Amino acid sequence: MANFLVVDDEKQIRTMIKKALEEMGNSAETVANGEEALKTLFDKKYDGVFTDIRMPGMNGLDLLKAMKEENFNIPKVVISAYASVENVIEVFKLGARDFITKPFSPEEIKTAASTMQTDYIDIKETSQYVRGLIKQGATSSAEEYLSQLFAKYQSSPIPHYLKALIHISKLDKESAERHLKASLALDENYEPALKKLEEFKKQTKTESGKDVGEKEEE
Amino acid sequence: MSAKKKKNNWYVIIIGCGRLGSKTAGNLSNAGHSVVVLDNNPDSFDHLPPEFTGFTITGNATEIESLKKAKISQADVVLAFTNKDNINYMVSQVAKEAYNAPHVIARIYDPENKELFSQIDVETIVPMELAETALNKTFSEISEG
Repeated sequence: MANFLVVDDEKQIRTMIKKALEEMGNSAETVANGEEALKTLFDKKYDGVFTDIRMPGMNGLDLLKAMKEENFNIPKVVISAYASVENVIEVFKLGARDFITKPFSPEEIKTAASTMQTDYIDIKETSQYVRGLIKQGATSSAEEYLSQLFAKYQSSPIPHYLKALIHISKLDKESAERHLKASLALDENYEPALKKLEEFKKQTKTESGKDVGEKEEE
Repeated sequence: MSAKKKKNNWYVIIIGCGRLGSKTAGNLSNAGHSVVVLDNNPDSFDHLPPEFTGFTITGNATEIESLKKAKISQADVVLAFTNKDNINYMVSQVAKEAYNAPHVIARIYDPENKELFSQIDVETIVPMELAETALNKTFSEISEG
């Protein structure tokens, strides 16, 4: 079951999308504009966002921009009656996965939600598989899968973290650190990267402590 | 067993959001159908009941762009419910002949127009006839009782 955020200023549209998502066994919360959406995104974790473009206050494009700036790495689908070429290009540039034009049927929402969920499972499963390959020492196969993840999830912190793990397995600490930092640049709260960097710092301290001790003994 | 699979989610376009259009929109969206209501007066959407969960489009039904906005090419059912028979006829004709809408139903005020609509395979609802039937039934019940 996934949890979605629905952003639209029209109540009946919010209700319709929520109903379609709930019929699939998902849960959904609804808000009426971009400001409310952003506030909610800081408070809770969502697996996907459906947003309208034209809304009073913060509109859908501004919301997508803000989500990009704040590194909310969540699949986004835009729903709008204004499907001009410029609009469509802009929303895709801002990281949207799909563009659904109004009026739409609940089936279109369900299909978009399933795709979002499949992608979500995809990155989770693939990253687990890549970890397994790294542990087994099959780094070249891991690199192959990783390149696919890099291509598909450019704004996700996961591929950089996995790349760091590959460098660690090759004892290339400097490159590993660089990728951990890249991972955190995409999501500053990405826990595995934070932990790994912390470990690095501790190791460096211990090593430098040893050096000092050794020198003093001399 | 019927070979034709029963469809439970219809794409319905309602032209005209007066009392009949808004009530029908509420009922159909409550029954799980996808409903789009088109009217040239945005205030008319205030008639829509709270159970309505479809789309509203402000536009002139006699302009093809408005019908395209409502995605008429995808409609399973088109309901022409404006208060003018001639507009209902124009919309029905476009829906039926240009977009092959499977079902088109029009409300008409003048019973004499019924034949015109049936020539383009459009079903009609004639309030005067319905009132007449209801009245006859009531009178026969009174006289029998």
